[in-house]
Amino acid sequence: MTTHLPAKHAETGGGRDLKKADEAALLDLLETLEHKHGFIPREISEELTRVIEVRLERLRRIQGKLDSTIRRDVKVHVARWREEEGNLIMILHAIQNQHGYVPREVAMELARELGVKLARIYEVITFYHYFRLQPPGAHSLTVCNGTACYLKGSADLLNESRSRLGVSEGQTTADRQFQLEVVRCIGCCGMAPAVVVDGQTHGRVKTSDIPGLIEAAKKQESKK
Amino acid sequence: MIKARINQIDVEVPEGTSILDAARQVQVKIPTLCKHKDLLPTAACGICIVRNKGSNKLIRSCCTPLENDMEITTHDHDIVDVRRATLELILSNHPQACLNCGRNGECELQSLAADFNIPMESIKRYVRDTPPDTSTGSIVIDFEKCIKCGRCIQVCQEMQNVWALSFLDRGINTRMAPAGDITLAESPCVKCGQCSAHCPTGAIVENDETPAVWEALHDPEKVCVVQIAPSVRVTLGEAFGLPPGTNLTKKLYAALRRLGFKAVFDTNFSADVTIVEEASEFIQRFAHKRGPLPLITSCCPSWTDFMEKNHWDFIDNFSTAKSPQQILGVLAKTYYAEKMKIDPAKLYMVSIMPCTAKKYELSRTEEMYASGHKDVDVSLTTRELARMLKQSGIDFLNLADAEPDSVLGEYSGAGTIFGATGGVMEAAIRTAYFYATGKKLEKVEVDAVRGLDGVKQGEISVNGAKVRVAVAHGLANVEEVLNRVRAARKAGQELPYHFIEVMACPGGCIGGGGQPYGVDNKRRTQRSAGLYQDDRDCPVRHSHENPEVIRLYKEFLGQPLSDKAHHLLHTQYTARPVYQR
Amino acid sequence: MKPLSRTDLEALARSPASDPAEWIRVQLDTGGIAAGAEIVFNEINRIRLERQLPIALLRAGSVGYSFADPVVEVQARGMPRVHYGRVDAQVAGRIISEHCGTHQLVDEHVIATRRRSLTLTDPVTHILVRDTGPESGNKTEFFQFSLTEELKRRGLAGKVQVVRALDMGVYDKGIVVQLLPSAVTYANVLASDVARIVTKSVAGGKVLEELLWKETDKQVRVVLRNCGAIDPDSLEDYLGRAQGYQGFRRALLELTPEQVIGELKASGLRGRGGAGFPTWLKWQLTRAQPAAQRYVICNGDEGDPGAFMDRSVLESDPHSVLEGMMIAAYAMGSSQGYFYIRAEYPRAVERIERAIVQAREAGLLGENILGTGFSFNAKVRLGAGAFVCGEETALIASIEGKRGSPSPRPPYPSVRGLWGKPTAINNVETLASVPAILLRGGAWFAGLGTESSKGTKVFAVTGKVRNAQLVEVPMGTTLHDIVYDVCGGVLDGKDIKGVQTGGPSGGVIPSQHLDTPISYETLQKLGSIMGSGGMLVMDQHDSMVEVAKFYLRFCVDESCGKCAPCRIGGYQMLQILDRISRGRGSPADLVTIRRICSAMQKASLCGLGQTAPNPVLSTLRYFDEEYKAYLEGGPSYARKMSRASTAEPAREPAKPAVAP
Repeated sequence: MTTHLPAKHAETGGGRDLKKADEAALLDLLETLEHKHGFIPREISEELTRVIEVRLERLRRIQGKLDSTIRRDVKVHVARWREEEGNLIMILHAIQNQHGYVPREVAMELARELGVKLARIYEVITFYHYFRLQPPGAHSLTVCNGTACYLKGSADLLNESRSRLGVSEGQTTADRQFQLEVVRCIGCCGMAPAVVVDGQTHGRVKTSDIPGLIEAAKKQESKK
Repeated sequence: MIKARINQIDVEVPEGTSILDAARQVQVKIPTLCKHKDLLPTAACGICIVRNKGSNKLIRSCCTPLENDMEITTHDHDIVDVRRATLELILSNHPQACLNCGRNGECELQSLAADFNIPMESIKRYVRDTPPDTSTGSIVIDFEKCIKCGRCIQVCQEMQNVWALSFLDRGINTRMAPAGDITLAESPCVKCGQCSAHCPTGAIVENDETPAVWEALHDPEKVCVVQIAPSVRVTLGEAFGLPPGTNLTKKLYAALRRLGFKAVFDTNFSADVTIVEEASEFIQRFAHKRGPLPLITSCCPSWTDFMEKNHWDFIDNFSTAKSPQQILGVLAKTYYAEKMKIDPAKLYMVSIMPCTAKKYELSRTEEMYASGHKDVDVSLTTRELARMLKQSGIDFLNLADAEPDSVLGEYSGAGTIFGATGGVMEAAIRTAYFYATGKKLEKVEVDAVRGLDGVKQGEISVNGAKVRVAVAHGLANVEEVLNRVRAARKAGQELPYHFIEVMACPGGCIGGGGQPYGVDNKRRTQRSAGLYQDDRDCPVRHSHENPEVIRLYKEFLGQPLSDKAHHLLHTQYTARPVYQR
Repeated sequence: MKPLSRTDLEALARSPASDPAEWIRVQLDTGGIAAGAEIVFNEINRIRLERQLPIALLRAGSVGYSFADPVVEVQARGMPRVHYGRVDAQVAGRIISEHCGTHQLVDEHVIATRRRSLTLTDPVTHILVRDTGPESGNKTEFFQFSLTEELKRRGLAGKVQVVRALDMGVYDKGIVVQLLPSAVTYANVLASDVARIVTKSVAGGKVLEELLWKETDKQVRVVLRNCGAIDPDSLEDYLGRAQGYQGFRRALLELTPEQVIGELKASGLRGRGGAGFPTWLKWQLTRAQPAAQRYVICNGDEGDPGAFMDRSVLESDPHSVLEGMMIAAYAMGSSQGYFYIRAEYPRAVERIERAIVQAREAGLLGENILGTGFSFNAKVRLGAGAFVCGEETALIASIEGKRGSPSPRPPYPSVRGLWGKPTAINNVETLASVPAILLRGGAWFAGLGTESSKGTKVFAVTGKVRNAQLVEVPMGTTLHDIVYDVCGGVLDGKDIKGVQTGGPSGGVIPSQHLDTPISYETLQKLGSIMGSGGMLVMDQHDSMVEVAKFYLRFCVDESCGKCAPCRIGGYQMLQILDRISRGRGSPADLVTIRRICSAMQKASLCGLGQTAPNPVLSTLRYFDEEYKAYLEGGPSYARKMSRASTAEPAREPAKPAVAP
């Protein structure tokens, strides 16, 4: 059974690796049993079937609920913009505002609801750097790379951020904690070089400030 | 009319003519890599730049209409230098793997590079490592060779309305690919291969299966037999420098035998069988009201794939008769094998098709194994066959004529016109008319369904009843026809059509995705003309009068639509919604 | 707000609203908020409510002093009206208790007014002082001390306060002193002048001619006329205090569309987005197209890194842009307008959306406006992070919901634009100028600027400049005046190397050409362009190869990828530049670069590709020796060479001009 849940919801199973481990353990157990008895005892196979059915049912319910939420949300967005010509980008903005990115399931539902080809939707999403296809990190660190910030050392800030977070711009750390972004210009040229952490702008930032900014943002989370 | 000068030559063209086209009229060739005669200019490559007097800027001749009193220079030192630099840039973003590329010798980029005599690389090569997409088995996309001209995308989206390919990302990362990280097979692709027919480079080519065929031919255990599709006879010559439309049927038989095929069949024969089945189906539905109307033709695998993906509300309207390729395959491995006492397991059936989707059709459903084996083992495109002939050392054009192998070789004029848009309809009308009235049509040519208009309509009076037919080719034209039917159904009105023919490729099979490169409407017309001439030259012009067809039913199948015929010659369809992932 | 009638509008023209007696205006634009303006606003509000002070707390956009964000303007009884910069919560508290309470200016935060007076009209109450010379020998405190001592000696200690100013608006003129409230300004003041200033001017009310700084401010505010002075969220404020919608009223009620176009023609206004196409002509061409619908689009997709004038205007004075669009729509016969604004400018989007709602409620948008039969509506469309969408055909594609790839021209948008209809696309700054032109006449506007380039232009001056800020000057002002007289020169008193104008499409103008009067033509002659008005100041230490690389990388990132010369040319050139800047280039690389530049300029489809080589070409033209130095000896050698002309030690990281 394959279910393609958006990454956000996939966490319910405790991550893919764990599932694999479960699976392996179960298969091992079955093999031992078979080896011992020459067959899998009926009560065990029945019990297994029951457990799997329950799991499956639960998954189907989640998937169904997910599908209907997606459908409802997309309907709302489309209804808002239905009458407007050239509405695709505005709807994508609305979707990204809601999810933080454009999940594939939502894009597919949008294609159906709006009568626009999925290929067209992807052409648009991937053209505009504002739209994301991957879920954002819990925190964001954005380095301004406007000219003023550049002349005042934004490249060093970016390098430092890259090495501190271990990802390059446009990426999110493996633990989904931090995403690193570069922005053309946030218009705070008076306080160059500037860095935005979780929406909060910091001006006249030095390379040595970066680790502190990252740590502070992480702490912010643990307080919550 | 617009009057202007190009390279100091007076030129007069209708308003709206591009500088590029105007120049061609006065024998001035402006090179281009992205403009294709079938398509609107994308203005992508930047090679076709020219200069208008009094302006510093260079303009793109592909998309700039000629204006009165323009004085265009197409070649001077500066222009050629810019063109050369641009070409060098394009080459710097393209692998230098010409020798083992599917387009070697036929590549527009390669020939332009040769014209310009581009020296050793002056700009360091940058090609992003990307594995090719071989998922469909029909078409192979080698992303690294893509020059982003946008032809395939226009073809896929506008001409075919398939929307499998799209431009993703931007800047140097711009790529042509299906939407999202999915394979072409998982995309809405219907394998029509029009992208490959329009690609200027080797970025999209047919899946080359000639090695498998060579191997089979050299395998003493196998009895290799072959069939050639209607349109192939009038297009293959182009690969050998003959004008489009030259009919090479009999040389082709000879050449295929020389290649080592034990028997050479003609798909035109099975086209006649298809017509017999399909016309019978039509009469059942139209005259006996058994089954829904309109009846829709199903011999084009891209079209059936497209219908299953996008228009499955018409499944019941589809003719269940298999395509000629599959019918010939199954008959070869049953009827012919029985007759010749050959173990069908040893029979190896190769089909020569104008089409990349035929490769997909071979294993479309389990009915494609009706003989108990894979009915057709390999399907080659015209282009692949041309390469095989060139490799074989056969002086193809100077061969003596030969005849096809009996019992699956004889054909009628109705079978041969299958290769052109409207041909299936015309052939079906000829036979259906006879079935319904017991009389032959007074005029066998049905002009209303001929020609290159996207949607053609006609009306035939049968026993006083009007039969309304429609013919669409180029998948983008299909929706219009289907929507008319849907609208009538919804409104409870009389159906606009009783019989619909659809061919995925513009022009029908003569414009197929596996045909020799360089297709445009002029060639489509020439190729069709070749088929219609073949029809006229045929002594028998009705499928049901084909003596071998008559014999087939008498000896093997019984009646059209008999149980046996159903078992062997018919198939079914299922909805396959796109984007399961 | 109730719908306005013609008479309401006419009444507003005659009797503008008046300000409350005491107020504090906080500049809440993106730059200000990033620097903490909201915290300041809330703090002031808290204190005000707590102490039940009768001080009005007002919101505004930015006046343009980016270097001093957050900026607060204060009007208190018996006090000169001043701007405070670099305000935080603590300073806000002091402003209330000291400025409003004890009538003391707050030290180190006052930005001296640029409206300097030549006569002492009122008795001196406050003296601003600042050493405008090099940072190293700062004598500000010394002069504050001696002035205070001198005042004490004359028995004026309690009456006149001496404060250190954050910024004087006069630069590199030694000690500068400003006497408030008249704003008489003395420059190059010496210690020996202190006594005279106190006796003659403070006590005697006489102006010391020999010290008097007579030069008036180089800035003329047309586009920025209301920025920082009105509440961008208030239509009442715009109507009552900024002659709001009076230009529109005049156009609609007193002029024919042809006359409006005529007025624009008389003004000589040219597009401020970069290319400088005459605005009247664009309107006329669009008007001339027979069509049932025409569109007017405001291009607010400001994308040049370092340019933020459009954002600032949209955030600070949205109604004037909307009014400009309405006038344009009336002139060309359009009933539908679109604001295309970067999604990265949420505040600008929010404010323009609010302005549209307010104008609709007031009956200034909608059907049959003011009973004239003219109907017009405006909508906002968001950009999504694509610089190329500044190009007109790409912008149109984007509004249509497609990839923002440019398409070939002709057809021009004025013939076949949005959804195939005639469309005029105007830049934010252009539209913001229009109401002023209608209000004051085309001739007045044409009186500003030069023969070919009329009016004023807003520049966002950033980089190694002392005061990064928005500047609006008449065309024809020299780069030197902008950098030195308005923005205070180069940071840390270093030598200037050049100024990049026009952003990634522009070029570097080297120091020897700084005296050129700015116009579309002169900049082009120097290998640059006006562009949207970004101005990047570079000092002797900045590597021109690196700067060229920076801009080129930007263009490579932003290339739409449609046409080969731009897509591949930009990328390949960047690779070569990168090689050179790492000391691995060869002389042949420079030849290849020039060939690629030529191909990009001549064979690219749109302006982005055609102009992308400009930063490279202009640095090659003026700083050829830097490239050669990289080729010869790599980056460190090149840095040494580029520094050779200035006899300075290795630099420290740049410090802000003024300690916060």
